[in-house]
Amino acid sequence: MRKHILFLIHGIGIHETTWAEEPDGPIETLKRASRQYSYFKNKELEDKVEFAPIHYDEVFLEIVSQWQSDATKIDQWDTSGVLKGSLTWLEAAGEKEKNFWWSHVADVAMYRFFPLYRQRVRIHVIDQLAKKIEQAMDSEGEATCSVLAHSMGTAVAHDCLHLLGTIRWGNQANPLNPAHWRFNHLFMVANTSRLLQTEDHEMKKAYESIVRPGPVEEPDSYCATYWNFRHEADPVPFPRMFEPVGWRNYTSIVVRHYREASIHNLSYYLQNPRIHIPVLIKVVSPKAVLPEEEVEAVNPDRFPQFGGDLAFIQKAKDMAAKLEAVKNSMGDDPGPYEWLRGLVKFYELMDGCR
Amino acid sequence: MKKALLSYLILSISFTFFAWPAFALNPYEWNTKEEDPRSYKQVKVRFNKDLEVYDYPSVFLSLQRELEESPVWTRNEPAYRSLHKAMQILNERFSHFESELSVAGSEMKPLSEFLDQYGTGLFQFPCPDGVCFREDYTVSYMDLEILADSQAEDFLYRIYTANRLLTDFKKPALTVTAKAIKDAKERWEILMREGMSQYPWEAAFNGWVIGGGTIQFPPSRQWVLVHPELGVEISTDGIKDLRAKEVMAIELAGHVWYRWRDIDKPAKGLNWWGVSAAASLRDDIRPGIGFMAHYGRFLTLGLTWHDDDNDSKWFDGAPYVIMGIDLFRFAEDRVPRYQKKIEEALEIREGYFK
Repeated sequence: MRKHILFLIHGIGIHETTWAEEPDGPIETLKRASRQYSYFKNKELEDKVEFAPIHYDEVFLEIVSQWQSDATKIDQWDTSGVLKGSLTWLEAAGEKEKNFWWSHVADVAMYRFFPLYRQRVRIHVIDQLAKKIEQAMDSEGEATCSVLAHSMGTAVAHDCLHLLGTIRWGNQANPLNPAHWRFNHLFMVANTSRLLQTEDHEMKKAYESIVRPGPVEEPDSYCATYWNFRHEADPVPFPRMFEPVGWRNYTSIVVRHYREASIHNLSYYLQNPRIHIPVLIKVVSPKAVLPEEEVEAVNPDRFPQFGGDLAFIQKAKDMAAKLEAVKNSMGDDPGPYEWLRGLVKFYELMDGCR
Repeated sequence: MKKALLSYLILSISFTFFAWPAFALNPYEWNTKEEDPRSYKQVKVRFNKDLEVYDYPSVFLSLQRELEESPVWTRNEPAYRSLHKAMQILNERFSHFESELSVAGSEMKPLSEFLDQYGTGLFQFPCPDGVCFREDYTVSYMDLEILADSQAEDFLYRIYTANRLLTDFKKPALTVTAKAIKDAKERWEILMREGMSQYPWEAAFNGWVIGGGTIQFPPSRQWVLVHPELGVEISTDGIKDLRAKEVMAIELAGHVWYRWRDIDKPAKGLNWWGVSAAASLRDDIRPGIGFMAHYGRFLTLGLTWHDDDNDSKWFDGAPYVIMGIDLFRFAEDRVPRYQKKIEEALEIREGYFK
């Protein structure tokens, strides 16, 4: 039996090329979660699933490093002092450690407001997707693929899937068009695809694109099922929330657990059985988690809403209230500035809770 | 009598709840046996001659006939009827495919036209989300699980083999698509690496005014806007007395044009040239104004005029040659070797005119 390929697409923040394989990354989290179910007693998750991490942070790093290098050279040579250090802000661009603006906010801003960089990221991701699909079709004669994307990665995934399936690459018919092939499942965690949607030439808005569920050969859909996960206090997917009406095979799940400060983190989401169970069932087998195991796993006695030590639980309760306030301050449809300000507040709050 | 009834009941319950599901074929775990005549491998051997000449229409027609003659079906089963209908649809579509043209040379044209016009995703296998086909002839894996094993297996063999053959059929198109995506990525990479660098405000301006091109082809032009650059100015008073001085050049406004050496082979490289109005700033004399021209990243050359004598007349003195720092370093290495020869030549020339 061929393995199910699960593409993992990261969100904002610093991501090394090995981001998905790290001990607290999504692969290990899913593997740990799977071991609590009887189906995986004698087999590993990786016997059934091939993880294909996608990495695009390097594109942003390349761009900001270029800015940094240009600005540093200029500043060093500005002996006349005419620029009066006006490029100093760019000199820190490549240093992402403890530099929230450049490690988080800049990625979103560059993707949303700079078409050139957006396209560069998209083609970088599309190339990785296409390579893997072609490789699987070549060696196995088929490619069973799903996508698990997080935060800004959901917007990137949305754009890349739409382009992958609709463009006539090389001005020839596209065998990866929905009429010929489609993804199995889309798992969107903290979905920003509507918030970051653009009206670029060749692109469509989140509700109008092919990135929606539908049956084989349907030209306007590109996956069999669509799963939308969000945390009730996570403000990132809140503005312009993704909530389509009337989509078949679309499921929206809201989780409410507070066990550590980083509630926006992908692995944190995946720890919740309400999220990892559908993922396991869909990419492995309907029998991967038995119904009684699911009932047991989501039981609040087994997976309580508030976890950790008592001090943290109190902190978490305070954090939940404050996050709700941040979320409400952003409103349903904030402008880019309000949204970025809300995002900064959110991360400050999470930092304070650590 | 009671004992017999009890045994009967126990047997019935066991059969209903344990025996049947335990032996039902699980499509999620099903694997092909290569020696089976319905397997992809055997079908390829049997239809080798047809496949060699790309005669897929006759292969699929034969496979439909084999299905119709299969002894495992009564022909009344909904799963059979759906599979049969899907085969009929496939064959109807393939009746429009001109396989002779495919072998004749330009094999992509008929294939591309066929793929543009007709879907081939009906037989995608494993069926996305365990649902095969579509509309009123959908068959789910749950439907297969309640069939006799021989029927479920027959169904799976036929859909699996059809899918593998369709993947082979589409392979040339997939190769073209994958290459076109790779080329597109290379174009974007080369543009970012070898094109004129952009500061954030320039990238934003260009995104706003020119946009992001298309995903396959980056923009072929770019505005230059308040672009600081390191340069070296050389006075042109006399060749014997060349004086170089580092300057901060600011390209106030300009335009750059890009041209690929071979658009279909981006690795051959990118040519670009541009021109801009520039200001030069140095610490020993008043600022200068002029223009700069670019040919690629390496060659930046221009002329500037300074108000050397503070008479508020900018163009009454000899202009300065301004060059990019890379070009200057190259020149710095080469010019001394030739400077003596040039001086000798000039002396000879002056001798003639005395």
